[in-house]
Amino acid sequence: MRPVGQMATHAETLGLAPQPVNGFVSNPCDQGRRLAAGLVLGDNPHVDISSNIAGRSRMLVIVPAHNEAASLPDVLADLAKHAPQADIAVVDDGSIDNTAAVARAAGATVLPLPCNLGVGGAMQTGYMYAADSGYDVAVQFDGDGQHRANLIAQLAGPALTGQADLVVGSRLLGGLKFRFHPLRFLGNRMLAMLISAIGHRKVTDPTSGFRAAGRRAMRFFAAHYPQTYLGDTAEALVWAERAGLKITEIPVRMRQRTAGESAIRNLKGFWLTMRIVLAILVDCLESRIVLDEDQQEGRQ
Amino acid sequence: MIAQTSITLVQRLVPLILALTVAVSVIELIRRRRLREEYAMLWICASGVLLVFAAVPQLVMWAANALGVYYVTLMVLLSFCFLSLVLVHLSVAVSRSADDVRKLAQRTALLEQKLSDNASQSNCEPLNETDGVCGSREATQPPDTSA
Repeated sequence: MRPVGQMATHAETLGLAPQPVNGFVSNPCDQGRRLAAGLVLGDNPHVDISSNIAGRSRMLVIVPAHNEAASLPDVLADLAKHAPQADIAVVDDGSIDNTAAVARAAGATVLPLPCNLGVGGAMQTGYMYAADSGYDVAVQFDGDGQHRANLIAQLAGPALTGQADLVVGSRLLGGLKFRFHPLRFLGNRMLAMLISAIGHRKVTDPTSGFRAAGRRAMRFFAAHYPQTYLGDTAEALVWAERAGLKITEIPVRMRQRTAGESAIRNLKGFWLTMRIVLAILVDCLESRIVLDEDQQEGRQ
Repeated sequence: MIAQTSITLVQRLVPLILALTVAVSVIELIRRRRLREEYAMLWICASGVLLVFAAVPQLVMWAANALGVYYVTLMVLLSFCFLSLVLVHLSVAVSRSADDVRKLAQRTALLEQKLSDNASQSNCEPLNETDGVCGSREATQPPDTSA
């Protein structure tokens, strides 16, 4: 519970000033206003990411964050600038710094996990929120500034039009513009080959965490999401493939991560890749997940 | 040297059948999603090693020679089997409770978000004529002049 004085100022800012970032805050108070605006302007029959008939955003950007208070403001500013049409949910994965406060200050919805679940568990929480709130598309977006917000509309396109259930932003399509460390590149290639072989469909960048999920994929991931340590991206692809979701890749550029590019880290990354390969092979042993829409509605 | 001891057919078959049983039950546990990925891998590796030793008993002889450890009494063997069973049971139990913890954490996060959402909802100016929405907090707030 916030102190009384703070509540009053909050009400004042909401009442007097226009929304600080337009269409950015997922606040039920604004829904009425947006609804009114939508009625005046009329409904656009074309695919419009900005709002649906109820007047709220159709797109949710999920940002899993574990102790990312330092990089989060830039990421959220980037999102506000280049994807103002989207709502943002920051999943605070048991951070011990003030990640949640930073995200709230930027106007994002915060899903505070009480303990650290890893990227898989955090991402799934975001998908649960997206599915519960009835968004049409959910975009996975890293909290470390690796992904580019101006590519979100492009990424979400096929998921919104129903061309695909899951759209993966690939760094390797359309010419290699991303500098991989050789070991990481090898790991990436190995995973790509393995997943392509399992799914009978070419996958180029299975470790890309820049993805957009349509309604079907969203509901699937809300109910089933791999919890493998750092292996969630590649394994989620296998699970989606095995559940019969339509997957497409589009070429994207990503920012080069500067911090933590040491040989030890890359070796560790290679070892991790081997673990993921093993996990994927284990997945193939598991019974197939049947995509039952009714079953998806009620959570597990 | 023990390496020269001949092995009877029964002595070959019994370990092989046991190892196969272990491997099949581990795979069945994984197929039913009763084991978390990290434990699944551990047990796959364990049953793999067991199968190799059962299939090629000469390896055991070689290891015995190399280490200088020859005799394992039946009591030790039985208690080892029992402990292994306990361990499998525990990893199934840990897998399940880890899953439960995850679900609880996720549910908590979603509920906490809903709660703060509701708090800010009753905090802002009423959209319609419903003045009573903010309830008791209304009294603590200054009258809204913006609407």
